[in-house]
Amino acid sequence: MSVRGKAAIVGVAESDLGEVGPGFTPLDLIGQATNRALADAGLEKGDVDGLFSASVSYQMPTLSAGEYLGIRPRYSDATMMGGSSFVSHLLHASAAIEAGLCEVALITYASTQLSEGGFRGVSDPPDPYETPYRPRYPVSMYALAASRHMHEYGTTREQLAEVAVAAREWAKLNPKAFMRDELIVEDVLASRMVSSPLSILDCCLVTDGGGSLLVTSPERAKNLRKPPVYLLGVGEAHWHRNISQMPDLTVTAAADSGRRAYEMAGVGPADVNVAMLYDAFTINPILYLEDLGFCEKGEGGTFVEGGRIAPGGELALNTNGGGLSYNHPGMYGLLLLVEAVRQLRGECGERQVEGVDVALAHGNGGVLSSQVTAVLGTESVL
Amino acid sequence: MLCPVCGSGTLEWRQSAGRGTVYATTAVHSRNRDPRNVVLVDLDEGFRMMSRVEGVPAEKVEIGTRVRFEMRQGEGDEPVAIFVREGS
Repeated sequence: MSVRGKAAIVGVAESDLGEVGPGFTPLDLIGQATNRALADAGLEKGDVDGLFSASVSYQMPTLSAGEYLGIRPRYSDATMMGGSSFVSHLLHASAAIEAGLCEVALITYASTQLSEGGFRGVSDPPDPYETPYRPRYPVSMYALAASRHMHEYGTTREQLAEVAVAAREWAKLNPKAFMRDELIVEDVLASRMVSSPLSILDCCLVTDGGGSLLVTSPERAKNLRKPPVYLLGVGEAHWHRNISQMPDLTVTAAADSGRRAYEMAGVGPADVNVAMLYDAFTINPILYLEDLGFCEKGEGGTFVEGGRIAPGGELALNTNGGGLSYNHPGMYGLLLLVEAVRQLRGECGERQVEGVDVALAHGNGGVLSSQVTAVLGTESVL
Repeated sequence: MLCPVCGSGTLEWRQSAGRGTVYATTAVHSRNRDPRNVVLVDLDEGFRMMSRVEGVPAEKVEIGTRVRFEMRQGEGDEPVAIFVREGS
């Protein structure tokens, strides 16, 4: 079964981002983002009958969000697999809408991690096979993958740094980006090492913030405020939870999720006008460019050289500035979708890419563990 | 306890010779102390585990290095399996 064209995103919004300061809870930001998304769509709170969320703060996030917002959903899904969860919610929401189990789905997330004092990870019990060696979660796991990619394919720290620099160049065009000052490759190389080969500037930001997304049937979408953005394909995949169980540290399950998404959408990487690839660390987009077919395995480092993914480059990648320079409130998957939708609507101002009909959003969760790929499009490619 | 490959619950203890090859490596940096090493080691019997390599600075551990198992006392008196370079 396919959900191609069976659902449309009709409302998107961010909450306040960056550092909101004391006095705000994540639910306050969920409220902000949801009111803004409803206004964006021209829908009322009472229209929402499906609720989707994931959280590291609230163990029962749809219950907490539902209570706060005064929404009583008939369909509720709190699938949690890290930062990719919200891309996954998009697939689940579409299936529920197609099955008639709900009509207007709200996907929402927020965090106040920066104002609370820093990154808040998951609360899994210690793993007896990894915890004794004190890797720093999650950066050391990504560092191990980067070390292997460098060993097998000759990927360099300079190439990793190019990912951070390109993200910053996009962020300079986005007034909502948290980091907008000048950044060059040498700055990344000289910055404080965290878990080699990843320095602090190879790591995504820790910020406050969140977002909301409204999804409905194509029929209902036609009469709302903004042009609908259609779901063309979504694929999910996960192969491991812990890094020591990842079969090959240079190949992610995006190879499966991407293939599934492309097959459903009936498009390939050459058709993608904007790619939003979850950049928790600089190694991530390099792996995803390979696993999602933008280049061959091992060529991701070369691919990102020379401003190829920066503004004006060959591939418009992470046009909001990414988790590296825009915002990363603990889990970032929902904000990937917000930017993809805005690029498809032509709402991105200075950073708007010309002629965007197909956008890809790829979410990552855990330690390169869960991979979820969504292909979105305008009415012209339905 | 199940085998994640075949799903069988009929398992047996096997002993590894404790020799392997560094598959991936990182040096974890902390303020005011030396970096610590974390590796993934591929054991010759075909399984992979997280560990650390001792006897060489954390940043100098290289992928492909042959290593052998040694036991250390961890926190709370738990035994911890670590590795040293073969021949050392």
